[in-house]
Amino acid sequence: MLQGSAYVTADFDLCYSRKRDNLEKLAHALSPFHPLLRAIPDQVPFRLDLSALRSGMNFTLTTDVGDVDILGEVTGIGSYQQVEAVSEVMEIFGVNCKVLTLEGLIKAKRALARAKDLRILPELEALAEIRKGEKKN
Amino acid sequence: MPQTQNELPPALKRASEEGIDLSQLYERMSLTPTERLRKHFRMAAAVRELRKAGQKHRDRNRSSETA
Repeated sequence: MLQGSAYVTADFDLCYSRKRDNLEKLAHALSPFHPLLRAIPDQVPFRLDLSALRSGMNFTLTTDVGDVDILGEVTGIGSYQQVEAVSEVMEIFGVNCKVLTLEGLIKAKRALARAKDLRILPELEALAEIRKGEKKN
Repeated sequence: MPQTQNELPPALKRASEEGIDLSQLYERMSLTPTERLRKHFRMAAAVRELRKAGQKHRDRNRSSETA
């Protein structure tokens, strides 16, 4: 969406660094929004803290502000550092955020290869082509 | 934006053949990321309203059938 896709998404994907201090910051930042594991019965106790983050990698969460997926690794790209290498800085509501480039997104979607990812590929490739043309001009 | 299908680079030609509205892509690329998000939020709000209206309509039909 941030890269110009017209597809509507229902969740927010966030890739995070697995360094200890960052895990603590992430747990602290998400805690006011009461994160819970998605598609897991309510009766399973869950607390997104340092220990939970250390024992897992990718979490699909439901929060008070919507669905958030936090990814220690992105399929087809790798860890936070590798994702960062194929990201660009975008100003979003006045805040500079690192966002996966179209090329990075295409690589990840190809690797995931689920029907919903493959469906979006022609659009992403067209957007990359438009972007390439803009850079030339 | 190129004028004819033959002038299009392969990725755009493929997208067009898949039924993707290229004018929509050019328009979105002309926006800032924040503007793209705002547009998405407006669209999501419109979908929510449509869903609510549909539900209201179904509820009304159901209650008139049982009356």
